[in-house]
Amino acid sequence: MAHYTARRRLQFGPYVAVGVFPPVEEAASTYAVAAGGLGFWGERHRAFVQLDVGPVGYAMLSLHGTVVAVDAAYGVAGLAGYEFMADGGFFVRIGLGGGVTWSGAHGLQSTLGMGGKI
Amino acid sequence: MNRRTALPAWVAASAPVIAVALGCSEQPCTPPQCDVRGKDCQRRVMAATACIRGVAPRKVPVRVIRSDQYVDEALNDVDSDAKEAFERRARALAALGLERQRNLDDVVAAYVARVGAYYDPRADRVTLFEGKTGPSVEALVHEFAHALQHDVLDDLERTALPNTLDAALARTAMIEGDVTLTTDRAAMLSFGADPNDPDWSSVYGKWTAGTSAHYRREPLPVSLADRYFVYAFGAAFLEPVSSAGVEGWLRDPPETTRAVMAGAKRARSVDRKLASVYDAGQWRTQSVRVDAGVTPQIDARIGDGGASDGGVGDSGAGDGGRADAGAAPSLLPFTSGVPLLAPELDGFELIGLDSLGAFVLDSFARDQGASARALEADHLSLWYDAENDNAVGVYRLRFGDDELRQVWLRRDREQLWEGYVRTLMLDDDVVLFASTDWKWLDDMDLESLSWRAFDRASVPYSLRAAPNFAPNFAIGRWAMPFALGASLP
Repeated sequence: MAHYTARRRLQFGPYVAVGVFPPVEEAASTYAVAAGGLGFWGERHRAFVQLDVGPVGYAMLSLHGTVVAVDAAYGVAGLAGYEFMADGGFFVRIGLGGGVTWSGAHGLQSTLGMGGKI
Repeated sequence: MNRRTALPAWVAASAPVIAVALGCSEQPCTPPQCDVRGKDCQRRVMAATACIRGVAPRKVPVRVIRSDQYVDEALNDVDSDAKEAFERRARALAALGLERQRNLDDVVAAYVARVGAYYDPRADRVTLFEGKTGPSVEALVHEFAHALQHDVLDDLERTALPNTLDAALARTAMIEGDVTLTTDRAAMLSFGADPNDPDWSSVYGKWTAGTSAHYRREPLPVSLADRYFVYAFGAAFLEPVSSAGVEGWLRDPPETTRAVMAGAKRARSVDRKLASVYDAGQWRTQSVRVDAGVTPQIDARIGDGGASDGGVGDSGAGDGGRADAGAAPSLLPFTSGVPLLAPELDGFELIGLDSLGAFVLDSFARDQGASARALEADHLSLWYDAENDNAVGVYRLRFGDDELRQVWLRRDREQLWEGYVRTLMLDDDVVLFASTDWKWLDDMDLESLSWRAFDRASVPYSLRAAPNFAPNFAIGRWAMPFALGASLP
């Protein structure tokens, strides 16, 4: 859940989120939580940056060639990208960044999303 | 609403993130992450291992030694006769193309290079080898689980059990399968997962299938059969069995790999059926075909089978006693129920007797795409002519109710494999095999046997499918996080 500031051209919205990791092979599904913030600059064509603490990847335990447990690998992630915001509230967002887990594993993060703002 | 009023709610809502991210509460059976060379760490690992198994912990001494130190110790314990017998046997196997020729020193060094720890039931002591990365918690859990089998192992030591590869694989599968169950549960706990979550029958079912596939490509199928069979098939066998049932199987293990593969429910009946095959005395003499290039003087009178006590040599120890030439087949002694076949091979020395069993032989058949018939019994006598560096094996396979195969062995490995398949498919009569009880671990595909990482930090992270939790749907100033972005590698 996020809250955006009222400014039109420069917006910021902190958020918290809960999501589900789907089951993988013999591993049961699990959930993960995240919190962070999104900042936007612009109106119809907008740039955004995202910083969050949350899952930046799966940690998977594989025994004898089968994944038996999955858990979120928490860490810090940052992304930047572009968002198109239509007049009706429909938006498309694409971004690229990186994340690092507490244990030091790191990798690229990317996002491709669409949604609606009513 | 401005940011100041929103902040406390944001912080409060983030609390679960911080709690989860900083680590969850540890369960009592969870193995600690510590340096296993420390006494306190060893005590805690033993406590966790005993907790998983639901028994009281024991005090078991642990020593940490360098690998080369162990090699020296092991070789010092072997007398020259045993070493010579081993190497003579190795030459025979090499002559058959089934193994590489090697000396005992190399074998022990190769073994140690692949093993991180072991439990010695006689000394009741765990030994950890110093390696490049040091011994792991998981290795210690595994060996402590063996130490908790101490009473059972002690009893087995005093029990007369069949001494064939087939029987040894079945017996060891119970011991290692039991320990594998403990080790896997320890891995789950270390990961922070519930050991009861996975469908273990599916996990072990896939493991046995994968292991069999690897095994079919194994260049040392006899020597390394235990590495493929005992862990995967033992775990699959014992997984559905209760704790009390596991102890029962440990004390009274299945006698054949066929019984282990049949599962706990059918194992006893399979063993009874196979025992009846051995005891029925229905082995019949067949015509013998000798492949070109090896012409041992063979008396076609092959002794009828049947279990009997007594001992010529020792199939497990590779004893190399020469057979009594000219002895009447019906009077030939047996080793652990394995009859000595073709006793009159001039110039050939008896290297060993064995029964390889279904796991080994079935894999050959499947490897070649043949539809394997159920093997019910097999006997092997292995002979070696040191002067001419020739090896000969005499093999008998039995399929079905009264079907009998008499088999010859020769030095060409491909020929032997194909021969076995021809036996299965065309009712022909050529097969070859050999056996050793030494664990030669080089050339082994460790992929399916590799130790899992207990240290969570070393678990490889897959970043490919990480959901992006940034909210993608907004109502007014509030956004809902149900739409997740896709992440790319």
